Amino acid sequence: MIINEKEIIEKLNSDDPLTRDKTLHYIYKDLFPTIKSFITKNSGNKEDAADVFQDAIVIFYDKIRTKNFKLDCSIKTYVYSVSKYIWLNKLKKNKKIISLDEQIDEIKILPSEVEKSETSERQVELLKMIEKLGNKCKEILIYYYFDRIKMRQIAVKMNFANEQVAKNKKSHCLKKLKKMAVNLKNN
Amino acid sequence: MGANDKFESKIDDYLLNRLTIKDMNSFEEQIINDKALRQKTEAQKEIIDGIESYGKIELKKKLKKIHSEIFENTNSLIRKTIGISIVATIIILALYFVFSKQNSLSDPNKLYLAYFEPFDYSTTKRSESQGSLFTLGVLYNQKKYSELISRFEQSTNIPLEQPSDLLLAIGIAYLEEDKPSKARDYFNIITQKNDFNFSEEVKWYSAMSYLKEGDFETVKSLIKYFVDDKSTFFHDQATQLNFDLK
Repeated sequence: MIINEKEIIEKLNSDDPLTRDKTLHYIYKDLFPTIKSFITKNSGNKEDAADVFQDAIVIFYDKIRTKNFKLDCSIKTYVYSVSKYIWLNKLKKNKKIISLDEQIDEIKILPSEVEKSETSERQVELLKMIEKLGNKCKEILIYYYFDRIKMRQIAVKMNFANEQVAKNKKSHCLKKLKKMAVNLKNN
Repeated sequence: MGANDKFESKIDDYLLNRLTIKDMNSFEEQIINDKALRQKTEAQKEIIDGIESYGKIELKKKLKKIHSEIFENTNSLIRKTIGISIVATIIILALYFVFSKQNSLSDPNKLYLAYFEPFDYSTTKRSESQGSLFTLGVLYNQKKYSELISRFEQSTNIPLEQPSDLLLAIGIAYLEEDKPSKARDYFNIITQKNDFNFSEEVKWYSAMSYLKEGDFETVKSLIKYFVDDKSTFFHDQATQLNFDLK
């Protein structure tokens, strides 16, 4: 399967989760060797490379979901630059390199795009609450809010009778979660 | 659809960037003026942020799975391929050895070539003063067997009177000229002479003559003497030959 950049982005935004998974598989196979080579040549091992690359793909996936995101370089350059940023930042934190700025030369990466903000206690609790939801609720909320898949396709994927049934289910799950969050706040 | 559901849907559209600029501005104006709507929007944003964080964790898990699918499967495929290659190589080598062994066993000439070593005639003492004997020795060492046989037969009518080492050399020359039966005639003359100095050589080269003819049973009976006696000169070769013939 050889697909161009435009197709990759289209497929990652597809309403079919299977198409998204296949595309993730494709870009993983295509881009990981380059990142692995960079990290293993710069004080890292294969496990570091996989960890950094996966974080970079999560960032890339998160970006392309938003309607306004436009990539002004190739996917490879973007993922490479993000991986490089993450890795060099880790090395800097571990005091293995002195200057990070000299090393970042591919594209401008905003630290806010890449660096994970400290997870607050409240967010941790929220994640625990989501974990406690049933599998169906978790699945529909992630499809809708994280993957941004349309309700019509979610209904097909999750075997609901129609789009309205899927909407009701999502609404029910969201309310359940809100209720849990309110209870947490009150306790 | 209830009023709450309508708000929920509108807040979703706003938070997920699905509104037009005009609708977005209008909604933001509503938020400023409506405290309840503002609180609902903030609460929903917190929940959606949480779901997105959870989604990222799930995506990373999915990527780890993809990693192991691609690379561990590839590694196991490589390991499997290497394993199969090793087994195949072992089988091929085993077949080769069995086949070549069978081939060599079924071909008396190959066995003969593997075990035949010419008798070292040069170790016997001859001087140039002994004329023809010296010349015959030179011909033997130069492996000019045909000429050696011809000269020897011209020079003598009574082989029994010839020295045993020369008779042995003539027998070996016949052996090398592919006349094993004629070779044995000369080895037998040495036996008739009761020259025990060459009895082992006679036995061994006689065995070689039968080997050349493919008479393995006679070979085995002749070399048994060497196999059984470690002190004999041909013990090692005989033991190996006996093993190959089995």
